[in-house]
Amino acid sequence: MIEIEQIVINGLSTAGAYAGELKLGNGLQIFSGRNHYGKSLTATAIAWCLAVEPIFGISDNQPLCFPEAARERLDFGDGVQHLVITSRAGLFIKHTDGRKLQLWRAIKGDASVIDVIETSASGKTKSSRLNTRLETMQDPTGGMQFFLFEWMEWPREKVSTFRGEASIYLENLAPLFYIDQAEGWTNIQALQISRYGQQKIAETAVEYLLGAIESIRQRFALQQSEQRDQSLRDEAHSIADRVRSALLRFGWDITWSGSGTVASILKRWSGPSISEVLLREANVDIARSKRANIERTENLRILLTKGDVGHDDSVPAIASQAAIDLKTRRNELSKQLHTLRLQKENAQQLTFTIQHKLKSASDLLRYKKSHVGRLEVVECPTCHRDLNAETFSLQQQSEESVEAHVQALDRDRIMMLDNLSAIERAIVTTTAELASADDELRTAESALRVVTQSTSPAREQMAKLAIDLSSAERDYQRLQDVESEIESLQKQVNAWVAGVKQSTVPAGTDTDRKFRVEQFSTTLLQYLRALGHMALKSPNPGQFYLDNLYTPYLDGRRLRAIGSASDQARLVAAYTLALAVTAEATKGYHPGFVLLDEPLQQNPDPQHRELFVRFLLAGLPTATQIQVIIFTNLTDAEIKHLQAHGREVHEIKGDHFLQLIS
Amino acid sequence: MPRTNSPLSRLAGLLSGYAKPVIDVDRLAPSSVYDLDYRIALVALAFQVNSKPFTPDVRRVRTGQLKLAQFISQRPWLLPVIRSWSNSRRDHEASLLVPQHLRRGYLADTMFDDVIDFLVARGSLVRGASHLLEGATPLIRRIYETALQSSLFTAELEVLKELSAITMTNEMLEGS
Repeated sequence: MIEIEQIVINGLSTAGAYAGELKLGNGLQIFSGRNHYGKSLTATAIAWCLAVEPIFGISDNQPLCFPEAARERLDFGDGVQHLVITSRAGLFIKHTDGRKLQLWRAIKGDASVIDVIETSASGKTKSSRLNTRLETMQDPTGGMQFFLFEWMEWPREKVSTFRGEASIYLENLAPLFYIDQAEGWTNIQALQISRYGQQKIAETAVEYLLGAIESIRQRFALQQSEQRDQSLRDEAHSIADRVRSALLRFGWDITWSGSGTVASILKRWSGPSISEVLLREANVDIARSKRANIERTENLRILLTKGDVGHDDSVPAIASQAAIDLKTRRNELSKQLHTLRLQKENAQQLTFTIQHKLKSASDLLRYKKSHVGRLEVVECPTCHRDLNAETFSLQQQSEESVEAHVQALDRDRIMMLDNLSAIERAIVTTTAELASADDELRTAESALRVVTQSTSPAREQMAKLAIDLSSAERDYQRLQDVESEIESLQKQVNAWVAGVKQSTVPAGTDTDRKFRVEQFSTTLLQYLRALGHMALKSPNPGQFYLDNLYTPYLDGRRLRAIGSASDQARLVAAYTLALAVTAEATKGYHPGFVLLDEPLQQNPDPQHRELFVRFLLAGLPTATQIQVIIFTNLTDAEIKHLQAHGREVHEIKGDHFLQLIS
Repeated sequence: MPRTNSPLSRLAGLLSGYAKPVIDVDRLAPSSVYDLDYRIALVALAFQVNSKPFTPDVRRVRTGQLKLAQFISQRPWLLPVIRSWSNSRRDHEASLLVPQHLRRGYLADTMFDDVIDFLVARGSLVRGASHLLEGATPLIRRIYETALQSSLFTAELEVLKELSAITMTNEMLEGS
């Protein structure tokens, strides 16, 4: 853990060199000064030197978190606005093991780098310049956060984003120990960053500070596994679509589904291959067809080259009959396709009708459930007697009745969509069959033309054989193409199966989380009571616990929603301090300091002030090493009271933190 | 309506001697098209979309136009038929081709008449010679506003707006 020893801001203005510095001790450090002195400027300098300014919602390396007066013009009390020429902030840190660190970053100048001076426990110093944002966690030589996490001996952990993974950055942890005056008091982790897209970062940040690293790693592994599963499911869906549409092109409709869980798809795809399913469902055996085709081609070739063609005069009749058969088949397929298209049109219309009715019935159900604008009591405007709808042959249906109708319509909708999908598949297969019949018919017609033009029966036979041979060779080539396409698809399926088998979910535990969270919850309750949270004042306020997101709950209600307005600030202060003290006890990865900027400005009523001062005296444990830095504006009586009880209150004198160096 | 007299029970009775059907009338869900709330909501939407100011405070609509509008709003697939019917109004030959079942369908919609009787009795609408006017109770306007605010019956409202752009002749509104 670390402690802040000194905060410095210095630079050069048109009036000359200027500086301001604040020295800090250990434990509770209260700085009391009048408004506009520059207390928040000092607090901002801490965030700036740690390069966590994204918590203020500003772009990288933009010093917009500092007031314009500190960046551009300074008034040293002479009423003149002096232009700022250069300006920088420095943060002096001491590690509990004796090492020290100085972080210097320009406020006006190049803010993309930080100058670092390391001092080892033996007194040896080393200077370096690091990038504040560019590859800050990834670059082992120039990344500021990489260096800082190493120096603090903190593990660099990963969290999932919606598209991949990212690190836990210091700015994700800062909202739990740095409470900014403007926004920090509005909620627990009010300054947590959501724009990085890190999933569950708020709870991960709490776990990190408490030291529950195994829990973070297990969550990351599970999230990665879920993302991998999603990607595998998407891929399976795409492969299944390709398999089905490729086979439909040849007129074969088979069941090859890519839906369901990864495990169920794996089980399905590890079973019969595409060829086996094709044989089982469409009775298509490519290998056998190829063998038969080879045999036929060979026989035709032998017959054509060496065989005795004889004097068979039935060849023209056979060729003619083949063309007629194919024409008949083509016509049948064409009619079938026409019918299917009509069916599709009707099915689409019916689906549209059902969908419209379903929308109407769902709206009606919502309308009935909302009870807005509906007739509850109906009476005649003149005699004021109740009007019965049944007198008018009308009926008001119950919510249950409409709900049953919605369910029935939804069943119809699903059935119609299935029906529509089956018709569409049938259209594709029939179109494919029709194309094949067209092709065969063209060949048959060509054969018939050649045969009828031949001058003798022997030539007729020869011509017929030649055409049959050519056709058989074409068929063989087609079968080859189909086979190689199926092979390619099967390879994709096999690669998917192998990929799934290789990806195993790493087993992890989160045993390091439970006792830490329990301790945190106990300490938080203690601090909330000590700070005087109104909801916890009664002797039996109810069951207090932290939910999965580490949000405090009291008897099933979020604590944030209970109590008075000033309890909000009490909750934030108690949460931040309890987390620091628990992290210290559980050897977590907490920096060791907590900054509370203007806790009394959140609610300046006397009771709140009194409760807070009482908390500073008796609420905070004395045994803790945590440095609690409070910037506030106390009354003289409060300062004396605190100092009389041994609390370190620094009274800030003067008009402004920044002064000209004489 | 008691369940024993419902059309479904009667159908079950008719079929029982021949087809041996197993019909559990308790499990059959009647269509919400016959629900009073739904039909009042449709009348309210159709009224607001099609009505015109009669006096500064009161709007009115032709009864036949309201009947046709609420009928089509439940059946958007009839919109092209209405459009072609409207387009054929100057072409007698073309008008013969317009499906007659549409006219029969909406003229036989007696539930609309019952709903209007009910709303007139309630004071939400006032019946004129050939028009319906807004009544003293603001039910119609309130339902319309609720539907808009809660995005209810958006499909019907879309059809009504599309329908309002189609010219309706007296011939088309026969039987009003």
